Amino acid sequence: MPKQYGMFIDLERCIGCHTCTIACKAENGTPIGVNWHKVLTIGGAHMDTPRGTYPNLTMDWLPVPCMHCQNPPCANVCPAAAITRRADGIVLIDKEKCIGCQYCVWACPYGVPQYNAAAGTVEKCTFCAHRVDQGQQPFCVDACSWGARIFGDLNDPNSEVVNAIARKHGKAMAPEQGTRPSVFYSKLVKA
Amino acid sequence: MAISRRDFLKISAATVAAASLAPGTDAKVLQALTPQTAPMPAGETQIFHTVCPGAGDHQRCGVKVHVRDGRMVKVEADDFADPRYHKNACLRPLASMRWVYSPDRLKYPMKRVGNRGEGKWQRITWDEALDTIASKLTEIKNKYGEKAVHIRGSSSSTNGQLMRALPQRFSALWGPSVTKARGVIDANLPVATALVTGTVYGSVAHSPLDWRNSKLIVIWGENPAETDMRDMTHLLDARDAGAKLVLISPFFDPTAAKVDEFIPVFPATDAALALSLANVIIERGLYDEDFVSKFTNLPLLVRQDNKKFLRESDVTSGGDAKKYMLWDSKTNAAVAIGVGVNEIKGVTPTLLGSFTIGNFACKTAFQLLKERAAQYPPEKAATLTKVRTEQIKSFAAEYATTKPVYTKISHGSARTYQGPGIVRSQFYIAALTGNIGIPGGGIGYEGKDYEANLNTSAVSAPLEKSRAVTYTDTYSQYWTNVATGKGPYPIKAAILSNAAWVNYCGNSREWIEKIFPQLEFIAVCDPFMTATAQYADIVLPGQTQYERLDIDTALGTIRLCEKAIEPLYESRDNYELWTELGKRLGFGDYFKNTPEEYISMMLNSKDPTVAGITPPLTLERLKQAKYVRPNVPTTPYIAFRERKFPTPSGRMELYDERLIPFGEELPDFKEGYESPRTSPLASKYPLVFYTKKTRFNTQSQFRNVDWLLEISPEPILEINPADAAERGIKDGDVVKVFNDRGSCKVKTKFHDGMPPGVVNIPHGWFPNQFIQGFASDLCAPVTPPEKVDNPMSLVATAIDSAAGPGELLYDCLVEVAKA
Repeated sequence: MPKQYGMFIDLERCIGCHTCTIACKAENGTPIGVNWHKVLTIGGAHMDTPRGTYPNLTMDWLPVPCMHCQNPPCANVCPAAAITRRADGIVLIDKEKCIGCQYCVWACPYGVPQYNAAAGTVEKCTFCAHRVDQGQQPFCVDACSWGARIFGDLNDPNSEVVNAIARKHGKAMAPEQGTRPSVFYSKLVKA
Repeated sequence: MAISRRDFLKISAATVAAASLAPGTDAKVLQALTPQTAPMPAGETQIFHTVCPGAGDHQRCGVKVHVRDGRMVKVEADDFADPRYHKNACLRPLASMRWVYSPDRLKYPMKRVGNRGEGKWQRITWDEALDTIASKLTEIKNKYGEKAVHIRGSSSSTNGQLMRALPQRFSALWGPSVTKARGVIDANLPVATALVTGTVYGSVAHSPLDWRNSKLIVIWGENPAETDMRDMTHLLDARDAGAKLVLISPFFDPTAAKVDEFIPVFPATDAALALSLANVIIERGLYDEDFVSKFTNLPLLVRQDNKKFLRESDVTSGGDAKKYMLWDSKTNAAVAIGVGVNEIKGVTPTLLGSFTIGNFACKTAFQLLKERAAQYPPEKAATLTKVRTEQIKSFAAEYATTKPVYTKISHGSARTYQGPGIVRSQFYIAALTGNIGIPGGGIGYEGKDYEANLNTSAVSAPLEKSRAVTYTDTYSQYWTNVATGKGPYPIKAAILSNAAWVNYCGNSREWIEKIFPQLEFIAVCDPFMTATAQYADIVLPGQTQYERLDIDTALGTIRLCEKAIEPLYESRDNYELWTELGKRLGFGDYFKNTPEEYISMMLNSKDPTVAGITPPLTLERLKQAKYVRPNVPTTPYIAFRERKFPTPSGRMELYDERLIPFGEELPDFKEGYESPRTSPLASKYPLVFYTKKTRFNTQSQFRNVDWLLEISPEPILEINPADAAERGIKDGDVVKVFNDRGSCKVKTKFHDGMPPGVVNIPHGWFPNQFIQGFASDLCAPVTPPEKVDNPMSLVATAIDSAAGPGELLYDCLVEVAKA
């Protein structure tokens, strides 16, 4: 069976620290203003603010990499055929082909593709394909010292990622969109 | 040199080259140094091993630095020598490359040509700078004596044992100058720890590996999810292993989001909460009788006439004046007990009661504690602390009936005038419930492990008898003396490296208006033009951790801190600064070693933690291995495993007769320097003002890093929407935060996790990042007009030289109004 790379993000262990976001920036050299990864607060209106009335409050975080959908809406709308899904499930934007129309930005239900105004193209998380191709993990996974991220082959029933998703009842975001994301979360609550 | 707030906002808003707007920045240099605009260097990647440069959180995590063509291209976590510790690096070291290559770096030495703080500088050579410093020091020495020079060699933002040892080497040779000198902030935790346990505060914590043995972990007054992030990993592991996590804090912050129970204590009322917990535990008989009897001084009899412990010599002629007395319930008689004796065969100490022995009416110390705690029934504590009565009762019972319990304390609840009393009262709960010296138990600060004892004194103490002194007065008394020109150390000159007082040490206006004018000469060595450096006469471009060789011993690992890149610009470090000054001031003979030789001297330690390493640890071996486990046990470190306490009684000193003159023999809830309940100021300034630490900075370090500014771009005021509504303030409004000491303008951020009546501007921002003013202008004074030094410190400084009250950061009232 071909590989289908995917990720499990354990919201019970996520402390909302943004180390993943900075790791992504360091690894992929994205300019100021373009972030392939972000951490949203599930709580109040601002970063790191809870929901409720003091002292009865709740707060969680939602780290958002590309979902690397098995049915990627971004690829489906791209008029330049610049977005492709590799045999291992990683969805990539070919910057050479991208015409900067930003249809994908509009189509992605997760707000993932980022327009790089300086380059005139759209960019996004690659699951660090350059590292994965060398047998390494995406850098955000490696950099999460809090054990909140697990990466691996969703088609391998013995993989750590599959086991973690089963054990922690991992759920994908917005499954009703039919996108079949490859990123699963524990404790997913509706934002 | 420093870039304006508008510039910072532009960086965060999207422009790649905003940093180039900084005046005085060579655009070509910037281009070469900015990864996004410079092509990725070609060539082989070299890996260097060192520690994170952000030491303000004291975690000293190992990092690997990727270098290509002499330029840092990435930082990632490095392993610890014990693989049971997760490798760990948070966003700060990962972003630190941008700090190293920041266009704001000081690039060459400069001398002041305008007034202090005016920002007018002239470039000079290192030789001129060092010659000037040397001649100024000599001049001041001739005029006022050696004591007039304050040598502040490093702050917590300088990692590495060598960088800390070298300024000490210099001061040992210079003369009776002040090195440590209550520049040590945050001393309230050491004060309390020293009093209760007789030991330095760093040694009381348990290994984070031991937290997995805890059934209940109480995080009290800390936010480790942001400020002790490595510890947070282990707390999550403990939770996964079945421990319940509880947070006692005023703030629903990132740590609160991860715990099972949040106990919302109002700022600075922690002692009332602790005494109420003690009340419930004692009234319900839930204390650990065996531990209290054997290992605390609570069973000892206290004379009612002078509050001192009854001694054998008080009741028996020829009795031992050192022996205490306790009451044996079997024979109904007083029995003498020596220092450090935990039990006497056949004697069962009575814990509670009043007794008459000879002419003396006595009570057990435990009886006195019971009476003190009885003044804080949960209903009364609830009104002070704003914790619900039911929660106080249920938490007290849970704490006392669960074992083991680890209590993780920190500076958060200690940074007030009553801080030492608060921390002592926290120790009481751990002691009453017998959670001391057992796996999974304990009460302590950051997670720690056995550490290697390098022979640092080979570097720091070159003379048999050091001429340096550690000043024994308290922090605020010391600076009050400087400000008023009184006291034994009439400081007239200061050399500071990596110490940004104005940015983080209490009220900034005091430094600028009261203390600095007393100093005839100030030299600052720092990688950046800090708010403190702006008031210097000479500024020197300092290096970052990555630009020098050093050695570190954090968390059971001896780690070589390799020099990863060549120093940028003309930057130098403590090695060159103190070596060159030493040569110019006549002790060049003591400054002939290279950094490698100094490190070899440190490795040549007779302490078994180092001497017992096989094969023997040499610099060569360390260069190969990068990090080595010291010769220490593999079982997790547990403080007081032997339950020996080097206190006057040899037991945990819960009743402290040394503090009778101050009415502090038992901790009590007392109002702070400024209280929203009792201060006359409260009618004008009803809000408690905090400057909380965040994950984006350690003290003022990293507040100018563009990658971090993207996420947290500017100072904001966090306020509960109810407090804002009362003042007609809307979310995002620019407000003025003010009191009699100062004011600043910032945007508001509605935050339901802020307790009503409390506001916060996160800590560490530079003055030029505020719309107007500076948050530290509002803080409680460094040199208070009234004598507010807590007298406990005078006792505690004798035990731990780091003790002595720190600044009163959180005893501060303000008002907020729409700007």
